[in-house]
Amino acid sequence: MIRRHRTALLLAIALGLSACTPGAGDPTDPEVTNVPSGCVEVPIATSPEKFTLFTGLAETFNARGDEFAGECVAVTVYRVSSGAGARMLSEGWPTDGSAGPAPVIWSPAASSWGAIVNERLAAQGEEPIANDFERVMITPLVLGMPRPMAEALGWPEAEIGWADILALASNPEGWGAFDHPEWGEFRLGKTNPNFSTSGLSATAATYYAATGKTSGLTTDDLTDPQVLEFVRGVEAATVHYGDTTLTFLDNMYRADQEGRGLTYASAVAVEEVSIIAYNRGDPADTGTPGPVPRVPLVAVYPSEGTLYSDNPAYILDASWVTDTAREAAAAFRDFVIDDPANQQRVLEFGFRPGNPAVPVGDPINSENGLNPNKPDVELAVPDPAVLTALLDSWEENRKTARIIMLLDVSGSMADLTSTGDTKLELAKQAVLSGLDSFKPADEIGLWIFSTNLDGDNDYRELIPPAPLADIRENFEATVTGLIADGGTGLYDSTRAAVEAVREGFDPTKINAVLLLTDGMCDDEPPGCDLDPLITFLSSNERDVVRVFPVAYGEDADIDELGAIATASRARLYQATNPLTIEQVFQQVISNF
Amino acid sequence: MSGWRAGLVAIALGGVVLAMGWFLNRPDPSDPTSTTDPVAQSDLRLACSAAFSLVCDELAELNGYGRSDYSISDPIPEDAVVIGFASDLPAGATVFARSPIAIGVWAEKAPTLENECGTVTPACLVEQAGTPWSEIGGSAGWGAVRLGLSDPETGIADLEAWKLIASQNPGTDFGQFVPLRRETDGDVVTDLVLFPSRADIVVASEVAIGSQLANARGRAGRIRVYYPDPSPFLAVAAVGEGRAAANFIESLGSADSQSLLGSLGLRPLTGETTNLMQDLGTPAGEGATVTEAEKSALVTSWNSLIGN
Repeated sequence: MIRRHRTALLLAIALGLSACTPGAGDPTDPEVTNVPSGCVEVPIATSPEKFTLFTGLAETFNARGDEFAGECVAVTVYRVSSGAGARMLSEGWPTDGSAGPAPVIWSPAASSWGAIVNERLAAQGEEPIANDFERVMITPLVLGMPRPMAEALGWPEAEIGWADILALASNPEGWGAFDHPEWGEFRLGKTNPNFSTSGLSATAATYYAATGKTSGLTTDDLTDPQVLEFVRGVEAATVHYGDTTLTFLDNMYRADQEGRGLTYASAVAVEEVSIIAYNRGDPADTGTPGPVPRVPLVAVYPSEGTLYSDNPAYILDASWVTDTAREAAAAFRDFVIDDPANQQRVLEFGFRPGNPAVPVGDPINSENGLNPNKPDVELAVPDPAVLTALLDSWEENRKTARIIMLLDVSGSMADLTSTGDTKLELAKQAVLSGLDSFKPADEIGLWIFSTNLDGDNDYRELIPPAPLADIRENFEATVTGLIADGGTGLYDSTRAAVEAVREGFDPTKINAVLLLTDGMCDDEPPGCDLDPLITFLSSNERDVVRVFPVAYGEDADIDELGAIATASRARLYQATNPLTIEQVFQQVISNF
Repeated sequence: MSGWRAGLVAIALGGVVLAMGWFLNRPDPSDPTSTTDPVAQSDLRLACSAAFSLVCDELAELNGYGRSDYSISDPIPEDAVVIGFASDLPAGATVFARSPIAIGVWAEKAPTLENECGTVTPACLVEQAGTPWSEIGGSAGWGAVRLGLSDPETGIADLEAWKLIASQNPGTDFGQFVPLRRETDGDVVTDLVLFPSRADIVVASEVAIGSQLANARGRAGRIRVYYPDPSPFLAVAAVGEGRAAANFIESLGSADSQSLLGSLGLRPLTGETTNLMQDLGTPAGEGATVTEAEKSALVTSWNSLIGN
């Protein structure tokens, strides 16, 4: 075991990487406005894509110095994905601070999440809490496509819909059917509907497209064999899932900057606002754009219709919301919606204003590949009970995963955390509870690594990939029995795991490695030379095996893990605070 | 919404505004406590539902009043003048204007509907609901003909709008062609403007449609307004406590105020306004309003066909 202390420089790099990889950091990252001593905090939990916007608006509001019931207040902003917020509000907001303070204002991307929270609470015999909302801004779900690919399908004149996507995705010729064999097969980027509004809307839209309906989706529709065949066909084209669309756009942007922008994904189901951010060179909404992409994205408004993200601001009817906080929250909401200057800021970020008196204008224009007069048809948000059933149906019909979990069992994993558990114990709990997020047909293998576990090898295969239904009992027992010892043979272990997945590569599945480590490579030279591993990981244009690293604790080398994620076109996740590992692990699993 | 569109109206109606400002601030010679104290005036606020958002925004802006939203189920606030339909307010509210029930159709689609139906009537809406626009000469991209309606249990305008539809005996599948449903007619029209692709047609009070006509032009296009023949007319009233409120409510009946109100989409109690909002038309006739006996049957049919 080798322990290395971070330098200030490394910390700066780490924070920089965190900013470049939205949602990948701890939920408790200090990305909030300060609360002056003695003031009442009014926390906002917002979906990631409007975090920067809300932060700026909160700073302006706080600067006014308004008092409520004689008390000063400070609106603070926390980044919480819509699905995670819905889950925590219905299951109980964590009190350990791992998700930030319980919000007074909750602003998921769509009000359908509020309906889901209330539905889940009702099922538990509890009162609804997501009742009082107003729309701050709106944005439709679109298919973001590289411009040449959209034009190959006839954009902007042609009506393009999910049925066309299915036809293209299931065509063995792939893009060759449109005279572009060099683009390979059609690849769809689509987020996990349990976490992401875009994913939820896209999933609902595919079910609608399969039925030909624009409203009134029923639970019977969700079991119709023809409908399921259509949905499975679309899901089969998915590259991988994930908890936020920003991952896809960030990966797409990196690929674009490397001159291979047409190979990562052919289309990504995203909100219209995200197209603008991408074309500005800021796909991750960091507020600091890079170079504009070589190949811009354009919006395809699906011909069967689409759903809007209506970005509600709920003032929660929850026990922790005081009268003063409620009054201040209402004032902040009015400030954002009623003040035309603030709605203009909303528009500048690429959202359509929630105040109907503010016209839709630039940057929602054809120069950005958008059409402010689209969509023609809006799909109705399914009833809450249907939405809940839809999520269940998706779990059964989504693309199957084939992954190896590569877990660090080096000696530092035996370090105690503030709960008195070791880091390894917390990681085990996260892995075990994460199993519930896989479907029985997902194939999972278990590898561990430290140093010299198997002769000269730093890794050992404990369970080869097999359907979870067949191995779950053994998997749980094996994980439970893990012990920590040795160093961190990170690179050769990662390479070996990827090679193993490549050997059994199944194009009908999501092929990936989930890498959890709390340290940095400490092999004997030249084992810790990163470049060969990066070259190896990025060597496949097709049949890509993605490595999703989880940087666990304060000593994990975020720099090198970020490079591994980027090279394999995946994403780095950070659980700097070990107490957040379970939450972060859920985010990682959302990719499968 | 705040009254920040008032600047444009103020430019257009400068003379009327000045006259109304004097009228509202004039001293009452019969009342020794009467004052033109601007603080007393600005303490007042106007509370209105979405249907009256434009009316209230402008009146509040012009008079320096506060502004808040009002729901029919709310009690009347002590420090506010509430403007709404008379049937939705307590007895004793002062009636000062009227508004018929109307039909709003996206202007791009209206000619297609006219060609098919001759004129746009409730019967036309019920007959065409669910029909693909491409089958009646419209664009295939528009999907099927879809409506926006509000819950008749909420208020009188919502009830009257639903009566017009329900009296045409819509089929049991009618509800699936009403994807835009909100509690009030004002909310329905606001949603139509925010989400233009949510529905093609709304049935609502004229004042609710008028509140959003300018916004619609800014967001998505014109809304063409049609009137059922006959159109039920609803009385519009105001209620509030205190002298400032009484002065304000009294002022609403003046000729200058009535002219201003016409430009905001309200019609005078008698006769025709000389200053009716652009894009509003002339109802062919005045029809009977819902009776108490009809109400429960209408609510039942709504719950049966549309639900929530």
